[in-house]
Amino acid sequence: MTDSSALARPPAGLRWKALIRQREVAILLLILIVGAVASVLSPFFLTWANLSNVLIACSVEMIVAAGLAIVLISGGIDLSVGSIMGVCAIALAIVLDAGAPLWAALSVCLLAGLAFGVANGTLIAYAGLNPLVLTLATMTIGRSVVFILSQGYSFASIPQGFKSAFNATPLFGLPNLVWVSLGVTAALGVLLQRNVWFRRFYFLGGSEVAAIRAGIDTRRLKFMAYVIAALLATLAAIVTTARLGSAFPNTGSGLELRVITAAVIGGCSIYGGKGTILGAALGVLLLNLINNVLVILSLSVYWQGVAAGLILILAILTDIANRRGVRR
Amino acid sequence: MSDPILELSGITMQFGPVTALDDVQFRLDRGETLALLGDNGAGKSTLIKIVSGYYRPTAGRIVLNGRPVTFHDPQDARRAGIETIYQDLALFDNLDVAANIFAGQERVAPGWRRLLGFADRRSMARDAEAAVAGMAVTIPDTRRAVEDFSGGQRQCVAIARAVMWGREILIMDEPTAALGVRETQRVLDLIRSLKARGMSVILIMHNIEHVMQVATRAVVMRSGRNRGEVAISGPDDAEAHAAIVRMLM
Ligand SMILES: Nc1ncnc2c1ncn2[C@@H]1O[C@H](COP(=O)(O)OP(=O)(O)O)[C@@H](O)[C@H]1O
Ligand SMILES: [Mg+2]
Repeated sequence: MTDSSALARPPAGLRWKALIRQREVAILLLILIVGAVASVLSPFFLTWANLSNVLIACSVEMIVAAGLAIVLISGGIDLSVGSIMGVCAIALAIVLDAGAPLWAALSVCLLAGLAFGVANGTLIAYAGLNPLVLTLATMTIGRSVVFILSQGYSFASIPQGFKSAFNATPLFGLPNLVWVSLGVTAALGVLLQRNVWFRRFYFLGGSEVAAIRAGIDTRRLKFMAYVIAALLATLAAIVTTARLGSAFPNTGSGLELRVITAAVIGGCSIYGGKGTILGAALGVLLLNLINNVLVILSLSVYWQGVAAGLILILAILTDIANRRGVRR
Repeated sequence: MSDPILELSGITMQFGPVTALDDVQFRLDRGETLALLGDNGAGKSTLIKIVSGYYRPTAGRIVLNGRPVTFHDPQDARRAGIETIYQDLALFDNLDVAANIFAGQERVAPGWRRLLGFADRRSMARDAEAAVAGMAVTIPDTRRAVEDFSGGQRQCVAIARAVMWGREILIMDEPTAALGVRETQRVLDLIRSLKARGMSVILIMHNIEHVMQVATRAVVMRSGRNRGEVAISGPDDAEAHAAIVRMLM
């Protein structure tokens, strides 16, 4: 789909049609339709309590999705973000449990995330390993490390001050963690469209050969994509630990696939070069909204996967249809 | 009369036991459009790769603008003003014309946006538009991703990029190879218009009719050696045509 490539704008003559072809707009429409249907079927849907619950549920995934969008746009993939979240959450909670101060726990958590990001980035960008296989390995290692560290236990001795820093609701009744998530996502979204360094991820994902010929240090850029993704997974671990007041051995488990699904629905191409953080965030919102609707309509949440899968297929089909429409 | 911008002398290129080039002489005059011809394996690509910095010759001298030069890598050659456009064109399919032209050297916007490292998208779009506007191939909408462009339009973007960055020497490897009849004519027009811009062009081309239409001189190689050369006075220069055919036989 031409128009989901953020640095290329829709054709001048066909703005209106192009607008609907733009994936972000399509997902937004879908979100509005799902919302409209849900509000007709359930009076509870359009309550502030329910909508803020949806936003809270989205927050952690949106942070991870921003990092994954960058990796996907750069032409790579990262399956390890969920495990990195798990390691960071458990590391944070264990250090706190041992009675160490918050800054020490946060430092350990950050170092753990950074270590995974640097390992992923180095092995993919400099040693040339396939990102799918390598991050599958680090995902497996990470989850195993979580169980080694935690011995399967959860850790709940999280200081109250830390919890309330993220859960306090000073604005519109939304907890701070929602604002943190929206702020980080929006800032990265703008940087990726505008900042000359971040824009290079589109060049890298578009054509690595052309990027090298254009004098771009593609290896360092690739390396940085995985470091950024890992650091955002670290932030997600901090946020989720503060939100739940505990870290669990399965924190972040399976999250990578949910977020990849959301990002691809939102227009990120697994072949690289295409997509936006806005699109990925809207994909997260759509999937969480569907989840929420299933719950409040007392339908089985087990249908969520069916819905997500079908939308994913629809997204890929419209890609192909649009391409046929554009090419002569 | 001849005003060389690029001169290669005594160029030998050895790949292990294979001698790809054997004491080759090569001259490109300022503002001329030179066609490089020869059978497969004649050494055309190897010669081009030496000029564009991919290979360093086993022996020989390269003189650019009257000064001896050594290229350590393609970036070196590009900085010296030599741009090579390969068949795959090295474009970013996912991006628009401006992004393709400014890839790797995007302008930063003035004012507060500089602090955030924001790209000056408007000025780049304007200059990209202007760069392709003067070309023989028309691009209806420069804000589209180039993946939807025709072969000729893609050539146009690649050439506009070279012109924009002030390259004096443009090397094109089979620019008409994958094009239809009409597109081929447009690209030949495009190549002719480069002469008007004062660019010095080296074309690797197999089609003698195309060579006759755009080139002012043809250089023929065979088995890694100079076979000969002939000046082309115009598309109807039957003598030159015959000479090229003879040298290729
Ligand atoms: N990298 C290389 N290694 C070994 N031999 C090469 C290499 N590149 C070219 N050659 C040889 O050099 C000769 C000239 O090749 P080339 O320059 O590609 O000719 P042309 O482009 O005219 O078809 C051929 O015999 C080819 O096999
Ligand atoms: Mg060749």
